[in-house]
This record gives sequence, structure tokens and C-alpha cells, in this order.
Amino acid sequence: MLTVLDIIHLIQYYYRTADFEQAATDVETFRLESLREIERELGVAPPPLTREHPSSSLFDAAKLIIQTHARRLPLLDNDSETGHEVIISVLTQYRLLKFISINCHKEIQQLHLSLRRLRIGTYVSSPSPDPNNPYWPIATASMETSVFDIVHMFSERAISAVPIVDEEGVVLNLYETVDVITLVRLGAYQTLDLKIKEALTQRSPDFPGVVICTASDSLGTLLQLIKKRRVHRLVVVEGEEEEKRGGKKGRLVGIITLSDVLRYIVGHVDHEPRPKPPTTSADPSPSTPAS
Amino acid sequence: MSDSENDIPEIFPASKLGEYTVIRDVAEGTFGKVKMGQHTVTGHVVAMKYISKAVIHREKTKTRVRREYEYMRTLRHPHVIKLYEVISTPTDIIFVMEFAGGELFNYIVANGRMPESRARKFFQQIISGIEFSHRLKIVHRDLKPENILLDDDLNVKITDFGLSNEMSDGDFLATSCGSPNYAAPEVIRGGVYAGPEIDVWSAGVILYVMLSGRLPFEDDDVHMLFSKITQGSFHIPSSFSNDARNLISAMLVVDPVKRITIPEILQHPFFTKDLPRYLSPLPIAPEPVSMTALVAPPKQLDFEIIEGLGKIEPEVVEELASRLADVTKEDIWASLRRDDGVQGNAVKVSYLLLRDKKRGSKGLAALAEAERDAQMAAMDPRNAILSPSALSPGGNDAEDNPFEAEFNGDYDETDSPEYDFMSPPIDPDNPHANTFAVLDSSLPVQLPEQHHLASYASAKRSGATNGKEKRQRTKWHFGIRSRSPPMEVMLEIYRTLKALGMEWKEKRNLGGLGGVKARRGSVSIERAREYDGNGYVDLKAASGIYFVETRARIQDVVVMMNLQLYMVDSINYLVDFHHKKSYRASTEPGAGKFDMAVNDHGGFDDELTRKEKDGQREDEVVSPYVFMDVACRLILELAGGAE
Repeated sequence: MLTVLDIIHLIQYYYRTADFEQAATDVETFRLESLREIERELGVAPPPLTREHPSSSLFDAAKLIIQTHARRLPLLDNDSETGHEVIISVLTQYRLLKFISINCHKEIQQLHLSLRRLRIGTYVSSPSPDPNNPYWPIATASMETSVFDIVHMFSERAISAVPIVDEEGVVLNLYETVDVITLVRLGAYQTLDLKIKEALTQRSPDFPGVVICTASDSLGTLLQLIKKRRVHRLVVVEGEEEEKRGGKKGRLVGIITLSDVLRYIVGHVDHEPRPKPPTTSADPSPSTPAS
Repeated sequence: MSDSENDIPEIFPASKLGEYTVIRDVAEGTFGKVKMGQHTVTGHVVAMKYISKAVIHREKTKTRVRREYEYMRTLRHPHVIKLYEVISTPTDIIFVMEFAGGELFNYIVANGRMPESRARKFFQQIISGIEFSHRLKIVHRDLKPENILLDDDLNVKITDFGLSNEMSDGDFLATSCGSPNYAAPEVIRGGVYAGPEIDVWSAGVILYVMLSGRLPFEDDDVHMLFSKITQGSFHIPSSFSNDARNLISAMLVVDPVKRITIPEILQHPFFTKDLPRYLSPLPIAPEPVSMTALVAPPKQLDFEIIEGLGKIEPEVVEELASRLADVTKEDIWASLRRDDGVQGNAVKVSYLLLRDKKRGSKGLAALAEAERDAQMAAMDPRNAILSPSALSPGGNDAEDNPFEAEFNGDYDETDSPEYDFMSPPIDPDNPHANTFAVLDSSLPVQLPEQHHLASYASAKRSGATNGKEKRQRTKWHFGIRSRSPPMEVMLEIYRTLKALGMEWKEKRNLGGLGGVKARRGSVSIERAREYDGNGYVDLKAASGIYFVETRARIQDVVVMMNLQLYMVDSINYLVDFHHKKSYRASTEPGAGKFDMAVNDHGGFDDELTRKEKDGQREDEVVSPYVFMDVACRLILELAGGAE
């Protein structure tokens, strides 16, 4: 399966190994099958080649998605005439979660505990163990960062979005792998040294905006949001409560992806150990989430 | 209205929510009747437009009906006829619409020319409705007093949006039934392009008619009429005020590019005089806000706005609940808040019907103004911490269209209506409970509006009336077109098949074509031009010369396909590919190339060993759709061979 990440790797590869003229001519004739070699050369993990039979259970599919960190799962069956595999459909993390949010609406209303307390998502650790990155383990960029630099972050860390923050850490935007594809599609892969500030102007005017929330929002409302709106990741920022305790509204706290949500809901599968229950939390809510 | 207003003491079961009683026929249209009906539970009077499914199928007007539906659904404006819901019966599609009993046409006929203040009031309402529709990239295209309905309080209700846009070259005379008096010159000339300027022209004619009681362009002879319109020659009576004179002259400019635009009309003194506040345009977008404002504490609005319903009136909710057995206000609120896609649900429809019925006696202007204030308050970003219910459904991936559902029978994942009274409202006690929001600084900057012509042209190019509408389905030929003589094409096909190592079935009988009798065991048919035209030829069998049955083996799959050369028109031919069958070929040593695999236990291991054996084309990547692969190879080779 060809994903956005493959294109990101490709850009990374050319940036490292080739000069512009060579890359430009190469790109036009590039064969997809060469991608695997490039991935080997870059030392990045090849994208998982997963599959599930259309009549497997949703739970099995969800487990597979979690295990492989794939965002989408092709549903394969065998063609009755040729015996060859045929893609029947593709199940995505979003579709899976939307299905849950539509069909389990009673259960979802009981999920009052906050996202932070449930440890859904990746959060800035304080104090940061990395002196160069105050937001560790989250990669961030500023409006002045070049698209190339962000492409490297995507490729090296296998992530799909980078929050754009100002000097105080207030989140201004989110740059996603799909945004790079937009640039490439506009023929602008020759100009990936654009600053983020400029690259963001290339977004479609229909771009629905980045969704933010605070760490005290509940899993239940997040699922209701998923039912309403196609969202792939949320940026967690400081809100009222944090500001009262000396924080700053809008400052980056964490990032929540659909895999985080799915992993929590489906439970931890196989080799992944269960996380310890949180020991310190201000959330007084007594209810426990169904999992 | 003749119906009695306050005689509904009954309580109805919830199952009656979708019920209407037909009162009488109102009009007869091309597609069927328009009837006056009454909604059982609320007693609100509606117009019901019946569109016969048989006619839709026969006339192939599904697209047109769907467009009418899309337009009506999108256009929610105090001066545009509102669509409440669409009902599908085994025989008809029924549009349940706002009822307006009068027509501007009849009003003019009955009252003659009107004072400027009255004409201005109508004109302001018409232009505001048109301006609204243009913002949604919908052009009316057929504005005339017959399409401008009037309610009991003489409020304008525009109807029949965008229905005549299938007109193109030459069609006009045929379709317009001799009433082109309101049509713009470029429409009469049959220009392909028809943008918002044509509505400006028609509105100009209407204004002229209202002020003078007669048409600006009139002639018994259609050709004379056309030449008057295309030359733009008309006389303005001296009774017109300067503002009216000036505006009409600007609207009836023959060159559409030089004609006044709707935004310019909104600034014109004739229009702005005595303009009711509710018709003054809303600011385009909220002031830019910082992040700080977004995470500020939400100021609780004391009302709720629900998409498609506007500001919810609690009294209406209460009354609706009181009319239904075993249903509480909370149930109604929950159903109103539910997002059921564009179709809405029966409760939403009933709410609208009851609200409009209750509004009937109050002034439209006051209500529209209140609605506008609510919109303004909600647009203020300081109030707009969004709850999930207030977030617009962004992806729109489950956009339901009743026509798709109706004709294609595939329903999306919307819940069944039986659920209406079961789903509890989203956090009714604590609207502050969450802080999900769209990060304002991440929204694209709205670029200034392009010139109306340019923006319209681009909207037309993209083939959509508004951003969300689905693009028209492209018609695909899978095959290859050629202008070469048919026999040359056939020769090329055989060459290509040979080059690709494909096999074809020998033609044993061509019905005596070329004078060669079919002989048992004959290998080929010699082309013998000198015999053509003599003797009997079975034309049906002879046409088999343009038909090839062929097969190819790709790795372990045999694809059988038929190629047929069709004549598209006098100079174009189309090679069509038809997939007959694919089967798994035997990989046994010694098996023939096209032998079928006998016992298919082929698994992954088999595949590996086979790939090792098949060394000759190791680089070959085959998609699961082997037929497509083979057809594509053929097309590439054929196209390449023609160079």
C-alpha cells in the first residue's frame, strides 16, 4: 500500500542523496517498486503490509491496526476465478472509531474520565530530558521552519503531524504530512525550502481547521466529536485551569492521534504491557471507563 | 388562509409526525400537481409538489429533480420558498414546501403600477433573496413575476430556482413558450455562459414593470422583441424617480460585463433607502481572534442555534411536545440536536412547521431580525467555544441524498428514525463540559471575493453549484479510439496480440466475405479484393471480422477477452475490451500453457516456488485485476504502435 509516508520518505531520500536536477528528472520516471530500496537505504521501517479478511471480526482488525501502527487496513479476499488476492475495501482508524461512536452511544456517555488521566495521547514531559527540545517527546516547529526540516521530522520519527508553536509555546497551527502532498501535487516539490508560514497558504480554502482540546476533556466527548467530524488528530493545549495555575492558554500540552484513542478503547494487545494506573490525578470523577 | 388557526386540542401519537392531509390542488406543472396540504400534528399549511417517479424515469430528469432538491435545501432565506422535507411514495417524490398563495404577477395585474415605496419593498426582498442564492453559487435564471410568490402579508417568496439552466444554443425559442420578456440579451442570443448577471437583468425588468405597469421590451413579433432586447432599447417613463431611473439603466445594460452587479445594487441609493435592518447584509466573517480569545471562558448564550433550524424557540418545542403523546420537551430537544444528515428527522421538520405556523401572524421582518441577531451573537468568536454539537460536520463523508438513496437503494449509516426518542441529549446539564474547538489561527485566510464573473466561471468549471456538491459522473469508455480505417485497425490489433504473445481464435466463417468459402481446417482467409461484391455474403457472419476472441496467460492466470471494433461516428472507431473469463492455469510440469489448474490448493508456498521457477519475467508486477492489466498492455502497445 502506498501511503503519504512513502512520499515523505522519498522526498527525504532525494534531499539527502541527489542534487536538484538529478532528482527532478528521476522523479518523473521513478518506479514505485524502488520505494522499498529507498526505505532500506534510509534505515526507516518499511510500512507494515497488513491485511484482514472482510469477514474477520472488527476486533481482530482493530488489534491488527494497533499492533502494526497502520492507519489503514486493506480488506483482502481471493478472487474466485483467478485465486488472486483482491482488495475489497480499506478500513481506516477513523472509520473504525466512528463506527464505535455511532453504535455504542450509550456506553460512550459513561466515559467521563479525562484524556490526560487515561493517558490517551503523547504529552510534553516536564522537565524536559532534552535541553534542545522543551516539548520533548513532541516534535515542534515554528512559522519560520522550512518544509524540508519538517519532512525530515516526519521521515525520521515516522510521525504524521508537527505542531507549529510561537516562542511561548502557544500552538498556532499543525503541519501534517498531507500538507506536503498538497505542495507536491501543486508541482511545488521543487520549492520545499518554503517556510511553513508560506506553505500554509497553499492549503485548500476548504481546510476545516485544526481541532484543539484541553487535557481535562473526556474521552466520551472526544468520541462524540469523532462521530460528528472527520478528525485525525487533536492538539492538546493549556486552558483555563492551567492558566489559573500559572500556565498560558493555548500552550502546547500534547497531541492525541486516533491510534492513541483506538489503543485505549480496544485495549492493549499481545506484547504491549498495560500501563500502570495513574497515581496522581486531580480528576475526581468516580466512574470507570468501559474498555 | 382559510384554515382555522387554534383548533388543535388533540394529542397525537408520535407516529403521526410525518402525516399530511391534502386539501386541494393548486396548480399543475410539467412533472405533476402542486397541492395544498396540512400537516396533521401542527396544522401548518404547506404546498406539496408531486413529481411522478414514472415521469422522472421516462424523461430521464433525475438530475434535474435532484438539482431542484439541492437548491431548495440549500436556500434558507426569508424571501425564498422553503423546503420542509421530501417524501418518497411508491409513485411520487413529494416536495413539502412553504405555502405562499399569491403571485407578484397577479398582484401587478390586479393593482397596476405601484408607488415607488411599495415597489422598493418588493425589490429589496427580491434582491436580498437573489444575493443570498448567488453567494451559494446558484443562479435563478428565470426570474419573472410568475416565479415571485407573495404570502398573505405580501412578503416576497422566490421559487423555481435554477430550473431553466439546461437552455443552450437555440433551445430558448423552443422552451420559453413565447415569454422571453424578462430574459437577458445574452440568454436570448443563446450564449453558453449564463452567470449571475442574467438575474440582474431580469430583476431590472421586474422593477420596471412594478413601477410602470408595463414591460420595457414588448413587441407582438418575437423577432422584433428579440432585437429590442439585444439592442437594449427601452424608454423610461418620466414618472420614475432619478434613483429608479439610474438603477434600471444600470441593470438593463446589454453587455453583461458592464451591467451593475448585485453587490453594487446593495449599495445603490434606490436599494438602501428604507432598507429594513434584517435585509442589510451580515458581516462576512468574524473579526480575527487570537488563541487567547478562543480558550476564554465561554459566555453562555441563552439560546441555541442548530444548523438548518436557526435559533431554537423553546415555546415551539414545548408546544410540539404538548401535541404529542408520551413525548417530553427533552425528547424534542434531543431530536433537534441530532445530526441526521441533510434529510433531518421528523421532529426537526415538525418543529419548523409549527414554528412557521406560529410565526404566521407576526411580522416577518421582526422575526428575521431576531434571527439575524442570534446569528450575529453566535458568530462572535468570544461566544463560540464549540461543543461537538455545534461543530459543523466537517468531512461530510456521510452526506445523504434522498435521490441517491431512492434510486440506488444504498442507505448510509444513519440511525433509523425509531431511535428519535431514545437518544439522550448531549450533556444537557453542563454545556461547559468540554473545550473542543477549532483553532482559529489554523483556518485558511479568506481571500477577497473575486470579480463575480471570474468566480462564477471558476465555479462552473469545477462543475459544482456549491463546494460540497458532488461532481458529475464522468462517462468512461474503456477501450481505445481510432480514426484509422477499420481494417487497418484490425491488422494493428492482430500485430499487437502477436507482439504480446497472446493467442486468438481462428475465424472459420466469415459468411463468404472475400469470396472464400469456409473450409474445414483452413488456416487463414486470404484477402481477395477482386472477389468482393460478387456472390452472396452473410453480412452478420461477415461482421465477425471486427470481433476477436483472444486469451493470454499472465503468470498463473489465463485471461480470456473479446475485442470488438465499433463505429462511434463516421470517422471514429472504438476498440472495446470485454472480459470474458479468467481462470487459474495449471502450474504442473508438462501442463499446457492454457490448461486449467485441476486441484486448486494454491497457497503462499506455491506462489513462492512458482516465482522462483518463472525466472523469465521476474520484474513483472501484476495487479489483482489481471484483465485490466492485460487490457492496459494492449492499449499501450496499440497506442505506441500507432506512433
